[in-house]
Amino acid sequence: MSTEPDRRRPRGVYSVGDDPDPRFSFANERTFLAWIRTALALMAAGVALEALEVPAESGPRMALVVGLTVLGGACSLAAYVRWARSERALRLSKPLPPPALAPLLAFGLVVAAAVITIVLVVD
Amino acid sequence: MIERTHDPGAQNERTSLAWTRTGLALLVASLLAGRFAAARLGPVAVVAGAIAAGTVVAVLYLARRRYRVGHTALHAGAALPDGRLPALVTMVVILLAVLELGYAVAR
Repeated sequence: MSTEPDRRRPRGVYSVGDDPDPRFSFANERTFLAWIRTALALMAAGVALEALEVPAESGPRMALVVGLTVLGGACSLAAYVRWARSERALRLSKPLPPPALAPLLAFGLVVAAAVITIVLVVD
Repeated sequence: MIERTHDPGAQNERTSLAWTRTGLALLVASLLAGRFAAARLGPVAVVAGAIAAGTVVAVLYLARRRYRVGHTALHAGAALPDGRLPALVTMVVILLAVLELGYAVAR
């Protein structure tokens, strides 16, 4: 057993509980990274819309691009919070926190798809 | 005594590959964001893109070290890496989101 003080961060995670089975920590980390790649895909969609000027009207387009970009940024923040809360739950052998990201993302994507469809149809 | 498998389910290796995938996606995103935003925002965007890209290169390097720490953790019961690198990744994505917002809003 190491007698060095634990300097792992964030303290909110590592100051409680015990090290869980490494498999779960690795899986938690891969899930975080998958959410980050999802956030990047959302932001790339926003850049693509803006660069290609789709839809042509700048008002709806800015709303879409800003919406997608903000959604991407929010996903990356939520990804970290989810990782930290899950790691803490693993350390305390408690149930994992309920998913908030996936329903939020699904809602955001439905809204974006609806806006794009409406704008393209109304054209 | 049965020695435990070196890397059950290739967890460490799969996680390392996930870091590589994510790092490469971040690198492409940083370069594209800087490239597009520079046309409308000028040098500020170039600097922001360069900071993001440079940070991602550091992340890719640190991810290799992370694999080695994970290896030691599985073999010698040492601690797994912590949340500092994930936090850095999140901050880079936020920076890119701000850059992209600037690009979208600028004329």
